[in-house]
Amino acid sequence: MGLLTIDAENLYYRDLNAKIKEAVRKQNIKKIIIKNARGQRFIGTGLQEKDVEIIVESGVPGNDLAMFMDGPTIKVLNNAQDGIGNTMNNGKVFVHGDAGDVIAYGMRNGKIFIKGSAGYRIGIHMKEYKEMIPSIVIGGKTGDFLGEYMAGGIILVLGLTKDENPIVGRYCATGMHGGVIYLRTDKVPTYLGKEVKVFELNEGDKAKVKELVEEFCSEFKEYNSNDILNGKFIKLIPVSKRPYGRLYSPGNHFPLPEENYFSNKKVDIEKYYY
Amino acid sequence: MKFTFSLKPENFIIERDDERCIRCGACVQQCAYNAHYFLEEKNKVLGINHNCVGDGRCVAICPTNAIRIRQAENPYRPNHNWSKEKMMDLYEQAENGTVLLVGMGAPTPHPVYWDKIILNASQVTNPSIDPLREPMEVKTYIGSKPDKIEVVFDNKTKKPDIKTKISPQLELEVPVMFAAMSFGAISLNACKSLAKAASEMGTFWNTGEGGLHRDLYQYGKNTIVQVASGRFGVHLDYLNAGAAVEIKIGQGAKPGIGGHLPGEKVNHEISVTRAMPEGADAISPAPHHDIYSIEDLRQLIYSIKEATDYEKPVFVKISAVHNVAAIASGIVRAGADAVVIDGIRGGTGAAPKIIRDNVGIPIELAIAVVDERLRKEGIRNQASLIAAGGFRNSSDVIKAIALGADAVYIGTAALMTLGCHVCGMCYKGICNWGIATQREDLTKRLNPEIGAERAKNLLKAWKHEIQEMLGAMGINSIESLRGNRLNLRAVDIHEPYLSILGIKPAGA
Amino acid sequence: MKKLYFREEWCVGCGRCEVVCAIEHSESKHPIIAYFHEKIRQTPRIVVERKGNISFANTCRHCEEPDCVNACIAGALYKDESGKVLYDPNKCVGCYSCIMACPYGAIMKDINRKERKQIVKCDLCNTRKEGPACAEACPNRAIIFEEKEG
Repeated sequence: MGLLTIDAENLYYRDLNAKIKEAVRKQNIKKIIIKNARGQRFIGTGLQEKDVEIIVESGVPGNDLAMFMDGPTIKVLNNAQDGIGNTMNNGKVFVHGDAGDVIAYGMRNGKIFIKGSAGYRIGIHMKEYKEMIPSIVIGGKTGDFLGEYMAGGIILVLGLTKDENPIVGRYCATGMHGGVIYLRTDKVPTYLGKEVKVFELNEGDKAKVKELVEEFCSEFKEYNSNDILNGKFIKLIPVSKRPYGRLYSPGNHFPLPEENYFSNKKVDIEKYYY
Repeated sequence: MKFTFSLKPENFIIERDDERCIRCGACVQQCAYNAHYFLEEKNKVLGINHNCVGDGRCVAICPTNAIRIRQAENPYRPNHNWSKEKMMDLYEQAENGTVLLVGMGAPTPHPVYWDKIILNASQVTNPSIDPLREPMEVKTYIGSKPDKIEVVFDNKTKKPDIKTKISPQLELEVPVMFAAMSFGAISLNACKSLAKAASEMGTFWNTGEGGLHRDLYQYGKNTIVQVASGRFGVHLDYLNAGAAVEIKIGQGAKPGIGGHLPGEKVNHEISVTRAMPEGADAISPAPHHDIYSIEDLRQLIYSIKEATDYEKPVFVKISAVHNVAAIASGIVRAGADAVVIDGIRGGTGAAPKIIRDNVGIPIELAIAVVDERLRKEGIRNQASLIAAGGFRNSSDVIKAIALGADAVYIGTAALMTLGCHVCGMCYKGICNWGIATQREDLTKRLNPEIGAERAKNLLKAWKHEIQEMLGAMGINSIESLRGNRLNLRAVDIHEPYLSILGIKPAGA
Repeated sequence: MKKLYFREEWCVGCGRCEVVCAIEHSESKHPIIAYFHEKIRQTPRIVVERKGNISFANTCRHCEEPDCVNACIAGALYKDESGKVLYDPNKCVGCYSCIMACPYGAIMKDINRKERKQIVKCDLCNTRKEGPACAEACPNRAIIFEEKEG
């Protein structure tokens, strides 16, 4: 039938992951339901099958959920811990609750949706290349260092939770040199990284945000996409591809020679003295 | 023509024997730093000393051996405190206000302990062994060894078999591997040369933090893939392509700081392999942001083991700094299959000069203390010890093994087989030998057919020399030498370094 | 028969092949005397073609059916038993028919010879026991001297 239910109570993480891998790779299982997750780590690690769905129905999965994952979809019907989607290459993760720290570290592609809030250091060094653009949507707020060193990808923070905290913490986007961060707020965060500037969203941005919000609401049905999209959004993008270019001694730039000694014996003295 | 007033003196002087110079122009055409030019009006080839970096390309290419490069004398008054180098660095910072960058390993005058350690030879009571006539084992296995082995005998055939499950191991034909040098820091042709040589020689090469180029997947069986803090090019196929995975926490040339590949060097091939936009700086942050404690390191090690189905050994590479013994102990307990320690002489493509020259300890001392501490704690077998940082010949390798290492990584030595003259200008990205550059007109100068042959020659020669030295010591298997410090003696090393190394002075 | 093959992807454009060809075909075979002190400076039989970033060495292919031998009106060019295409410089009258006939541009005028017109062409270093000098001098194996099928 392609469905497997695992009771993870008292199951060591290595055994749980071995069961999942065996089911997906050898028994052609397409849907796995895990009950009573007790903080087992690395769930989803090493899986490359795109049509597999893993649902953590009860309990809380452990750190590094979907780490190195390359295709499947994971849904957690509860809170989750740290390191979700660490160096993830493809696939989707939905968390019906809050998440921990260091989500999406070095993420390369795929999508992560967190209904609630997340901790600090989200989206560090996310990368993108051509059509591989990772994205992460957080329904609540985040802590410090959001999008640090970001090199690509999309972070969208909606700030929908009813607490007094600012939408993002301090040092947001410090060291950012690629990618884009959208925040649903009208207040520019304090202590913003000096590599970014705040902009209004253009049509392309609005389309991207709409797509992500609609997917967010289709999973987390208590939210309405129109209400969310009617709010005010700001966009943070880096103003330089080379934020550290001026910091180091100038490497003398030697362009590819178009002519050389043999084609043109006349000395172009410019290129010799610099 | 620029007329800026500058205080920069010259480092090298180009001496051309005008009688021998046939004005062929090869030096002009070959020097990427534009240190030679042809003055048609006088029918002479002249040199611009300020541009010369002393990398020997013109000397080698000149068909009549007409060029000699000489080190420029110190133009300043002799001053033990204010050497020419210190003065030049200061002038450069006064002009630009920037962090000084530099390439290759620290040239500082710290003592090189390898040159003060000598080996034993067997003579009367313990006969020496001739490796040409008797079997000599230099094969090495890298990985976690079990605490004990349980042997069972088959009921019917009575044949023995090992019941204990052995962790995955790497099999090396010679205890020397090529160190981690990323594609980006070096050219693809250089990577191909090392990969090919490692495959043919039965040892391994390391991808460094730049990911694995698609042309190199064919050498996967002999590749150690590296996961650095930037996680460049890291995905499941990459992890599964290699024979082992190495987590890079730090490197000897720049302990404590991250990596930095300038945007000029990020061309199309690099951007595909690293999955990042062309022309952007490739920055690896200083720490892995998911490792803030030793427990986090354990988590990362096991996440990689989980991702590779526990089939590959996982190494952890650190710089050798203060307390390297304690850190190594923590790493072994965190579950690593090998600890890699990189000393202060380790090379780099680009590092701030002030960090490279001042941070880190000599690898000789690091090997000794790590080996000692792991043995004392009874965990030495749980991880192999690989040493890196300035190994120059096979005697350095043997001495490292005698001090306690399992195997050795060579970086600078490997690049020298490809033509590197250690001029240290790698960060400029216009290496004349086609090694530390991505410019196509320069990388074509390194033919992997020749490079692989030369790298393989070096390993072959060292393997044979190791066999000779082992035979001279009366040992026929390199395992018997590992950690066997009684076979070493010291000349001109004083306390406390003598005790730290754990060897006796010669004569004692 | 072993012939010279050229690999454009490895040629670094240094020109050593040209220089050693001239030295090898001189009387003294000494670089300084050959270039500055002999009566006639030898013209290299091999030329490095360069355009921008691309370079490769060009010389005689010692064809199976040489167009130059057919074109030679003086009978100076001939194909010997081993397969090499050689020439007797004394018979050459300097008509340059062979230069026009060669599809590879491998034959050149001897520009250094002022007293009469003559061609120069690669002879695979016929009289050199180590084989062609250019293949030996190339720093990157862009010129290889080997036997190939077809």
